Amino acid sequence: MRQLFATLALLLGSFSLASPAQDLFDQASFYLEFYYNGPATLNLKELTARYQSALDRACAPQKDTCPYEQAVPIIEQMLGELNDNHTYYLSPEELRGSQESRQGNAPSRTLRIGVSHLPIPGSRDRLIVDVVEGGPADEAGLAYGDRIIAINGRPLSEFPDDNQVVQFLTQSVQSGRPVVLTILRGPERQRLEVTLTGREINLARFPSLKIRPDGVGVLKIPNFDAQGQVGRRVHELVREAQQKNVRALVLELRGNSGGLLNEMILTAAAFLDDAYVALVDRYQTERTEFRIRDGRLTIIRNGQTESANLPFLARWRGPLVVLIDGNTASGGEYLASAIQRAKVGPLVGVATLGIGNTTTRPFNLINGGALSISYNRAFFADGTPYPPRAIPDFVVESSLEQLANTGRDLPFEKALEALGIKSAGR
Amino acid sequence: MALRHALLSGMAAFALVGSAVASPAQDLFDQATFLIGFYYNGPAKVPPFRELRRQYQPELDRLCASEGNRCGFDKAKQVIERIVRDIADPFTVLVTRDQLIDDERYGAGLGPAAPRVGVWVRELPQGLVVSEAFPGEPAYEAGLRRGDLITQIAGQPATLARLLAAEAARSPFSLSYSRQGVARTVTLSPRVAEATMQPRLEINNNVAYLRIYHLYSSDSYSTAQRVHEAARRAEQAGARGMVIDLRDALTGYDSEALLAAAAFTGTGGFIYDRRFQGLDETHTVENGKLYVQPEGAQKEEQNALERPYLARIPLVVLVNRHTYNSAEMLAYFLQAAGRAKVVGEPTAGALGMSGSAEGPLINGDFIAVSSLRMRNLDGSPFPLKVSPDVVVEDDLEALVAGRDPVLERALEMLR
Repeated sequence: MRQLFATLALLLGSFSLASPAQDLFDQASFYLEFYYNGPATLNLKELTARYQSALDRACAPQKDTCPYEQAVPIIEQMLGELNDNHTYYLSPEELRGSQESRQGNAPSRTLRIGVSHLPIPGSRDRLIVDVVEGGPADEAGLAYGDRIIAINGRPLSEFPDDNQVVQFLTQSVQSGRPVVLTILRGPERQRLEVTLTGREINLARFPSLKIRPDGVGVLKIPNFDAQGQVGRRVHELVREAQQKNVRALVLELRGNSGGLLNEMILTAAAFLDDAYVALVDRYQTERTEFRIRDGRLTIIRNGQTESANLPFLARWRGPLVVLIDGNTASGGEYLASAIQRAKVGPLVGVATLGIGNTTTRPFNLINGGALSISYNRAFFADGTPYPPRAIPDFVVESSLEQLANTGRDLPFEKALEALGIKSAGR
Repeated sequence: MALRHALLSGMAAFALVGSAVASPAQDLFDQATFLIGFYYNGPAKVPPFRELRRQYQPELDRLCASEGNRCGFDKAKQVIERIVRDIADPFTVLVTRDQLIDDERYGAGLGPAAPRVGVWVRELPQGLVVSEAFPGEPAYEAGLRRGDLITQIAGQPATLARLLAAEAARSPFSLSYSRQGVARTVTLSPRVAEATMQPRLEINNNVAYLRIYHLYSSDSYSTAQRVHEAARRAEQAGARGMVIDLRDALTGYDSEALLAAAAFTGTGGFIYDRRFQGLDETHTVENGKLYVQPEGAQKEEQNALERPYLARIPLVVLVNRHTYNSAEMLAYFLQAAGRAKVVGEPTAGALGMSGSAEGPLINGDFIAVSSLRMRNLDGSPFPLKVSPDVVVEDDLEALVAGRDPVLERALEMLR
């Protein structure tokens, strides 16, 4: 032993110090090669070797002092080849942002009205595709599908390009003064003027319930990010829907970007008698089962069982339909697949993104960022794997262009039809 | 010719399988060598992970020669244990999941998860010397005390292995011991220890004696908080001096050691130094509050004691070769601040090292890697062990004879 150690010490003389970029790349490559458990079938050793050459080229002028920044784009490109939305790089800022939304507290730090909007082909108008719960836009009643045609009385058609439209809207909001938006809404193309004022808002997302005049409830879950706050909230809203005699529920999972498994499984328990998922890593070192049944959460980790009563659970037993789209990802896909499998409600829309059978685990990197890697595969109670995508029972293709031009939300109309309710506009 | 050709193609096919699918042993080896070689920042000279793999791969290949890609975890574990031995740094060791679960229980103020009779012992040819009998546990309740010599367990000569096996069996067993020549036999029923490993204060002849077993903490329990309370009680009782006994003490959390020391030093701190740039972290304590400042960021309060105390009472700290890691740190903080004299043996040698348990490794174990080197606030490195001001070796024969020369020396110093 002592002898061997002397050899080690001798060899040390010949080691060259790795540059920071090389260290970062080594760390990212190891975690990727060793733990990756996603669908990509690339040869990972070959992949990292190829990008090592790219790093060597990028670092050639600096050698031992080559900084982290040189390695980051190379790592990002390398991960891009996997084409797996559960395997990605997070910069230190992005990592902080994701930690904030986990806590349910992501201050916007600037004045916002809380909408996402997209350009409309062939027009300068903007289409609202998302509204942050509790923000000024939400309070003013702006909704998915509303088309903005003028800001402060100035028609958007006057603007030379889309960028200037966005800039004008941002500046108007940032001014802190009231902003008047002119919008077109619904199939009737109802023209409305809405006044709202930007303020600092919480960008963390939470479930919401909107009850339509026809008695249908729309329960929207944008993501499962906020720890301890999403699942609970869903059960509160389901109880509210029951108290208000909502006749049917549309579960809006379009655009749901996933989040924490705990929150997803808690949410699933609002619709299923037996909410279950088992997670297994590539080496089957850890097997974790989550189950909520009869008001009790049980977690079995490598044979060790922990359980807790969940007194706040509600259970929706009325008519249910689930809306999904190509942006429904991860936890959103798990939930849709589990509901479909239990046959408690049909899925309407288009097939989901395709990461509904893995979980991602972040590994901290030495530059303060993180590498999130497809780490676990997910299984149902009978051992069948979760499917990568949720496939709708009723396929309804929709385009934003069509929504913007006709004001008709076809998947939503189909959802009402599936519930046996005549569509009466929005 | 045809036969030879067939053989060759058969071999080629086999080789292809071999390169595409690594054995479990190879995977475990790759994982552990990365975690050690990449993160190691301790005092030993450990090469970068690729070099580490190159050096030990032949040994793995030798062990796996007959098993090929079915070579199991046990073979890789042998090589990893060899690497850990060669590094010879007491902090860098394999850790089982059960040990981590016990650590968590200590943090909650409890004893280990497995039932026990509640003694720490040292092996001698004639039996097991009790170095600690935990008040409130079965052995203590049956009358066993520090210094007793356990001679028989369930009718067989007493060995550590037999004691552990009897405890693990979870049913009552007989235990014979002698105290200065007087033999006794008792029946003990192992049980899970609750609060018996929290710090324990006694005051005898106007001198306070504080036994500390570990430095773990959690949201619901803090060893440091207990140390502050003990310091207050000792002074309020008018004790003229205090002995802090850290002999055989387990590790815990470094910041907990710092907070505990603050009951006597008021302030202090250390720097965690990683192998990588920009990741240092400074921990300081002030008014019972722990602050953490990552390199290039603001310092933030991380933890605060209730009613922190600052004791002026003269202090002697007892250590031995088993006083380990965070417990060494507590002794060091008190000694370096000129607040205590240290009596006993040089400590285990994991004083300036830290890091988390990496893993799980794919065989379910974890590995503690010295990824953090510790420095004083002025930038000077921590020594590797605590050097006592007064060296007094553990003397098991004297202990069996009813004497404790280390404690006696400490009491003399407080006189």
